[in-house]
Amino acid sequence: MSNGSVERRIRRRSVHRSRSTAVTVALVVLVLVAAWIGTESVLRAIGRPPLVADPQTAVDAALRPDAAFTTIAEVVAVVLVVLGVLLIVLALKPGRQGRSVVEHDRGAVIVDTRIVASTAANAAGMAAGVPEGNASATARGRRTEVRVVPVTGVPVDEALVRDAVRERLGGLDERFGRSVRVRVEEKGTLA
Amino acid sequence: MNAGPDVPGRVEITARALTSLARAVAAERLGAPAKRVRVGLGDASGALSLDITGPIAAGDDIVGRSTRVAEEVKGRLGDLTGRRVGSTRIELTGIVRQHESRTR
Repeated sequence: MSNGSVERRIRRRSVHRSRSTAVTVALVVLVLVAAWIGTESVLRAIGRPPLVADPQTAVDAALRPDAAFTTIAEVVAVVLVVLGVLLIVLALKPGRQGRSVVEHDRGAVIVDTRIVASTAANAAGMAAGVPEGNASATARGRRTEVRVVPVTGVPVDEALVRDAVRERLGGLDERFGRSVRVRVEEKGTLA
Repeated sequence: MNAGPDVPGRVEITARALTSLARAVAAERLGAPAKRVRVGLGDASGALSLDITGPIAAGDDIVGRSTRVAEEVKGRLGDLTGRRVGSTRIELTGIVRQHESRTR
């Protein structure tokens, strides 16, 4: 695998989701709130009526709450907690996308799991001798699950299919072929 | 069905073709005109299941003959299509006499 810094960065950027959207939204909200507080303060200082509520009244209401204000405060608090948890999760999770890095001596090679799944389905269909639509596969991380609907009256050898899928996925990268599960449906289709 | 690892591609037999084939085989073995024989195909846990409805040629021991016909149809259809044939059910609807089949 080439270890140039550009390739490394490209690989990282392709496999992980960018956090820029969450950051942008959070910052815009923060800027709006700060601007509003600033505006209210200035309006108060020059003795003009406030836009929504002047800061002193808001603080007083928060310190000596009446029944209606308590409810509002609770709702706002719940919303803020949910948003906060969401932001923390977004910040801490690796944000992996369904892609994996493939070792290659030149450039950065990324394989999407959909490619892995359709490759597995194709290999299984060829090995089992069933029409295109009868073999399907899902790939998650390193695990690949293949589902084969046999043609009525033609038995499908599970081990043969598994070996074929292993071999084909091994051609993409040896990690993909390691965990392959094949399920042959009991009921077949006539054609 | 694959022709083998060296030959790319695949041979497919449609459900219609299978049904016509099964109908012809069943009619031949029953000794009845194919027009009067109906065959339904199904799947019994991965094997082909046959549902034959039609008349049988007149003669002795109809029940015994039907059983033999079922076996024969199973074997012949398996040979012709290369598929596993599971259960075969025959429902007799009448008798075909020799002269009747000639006029029809």
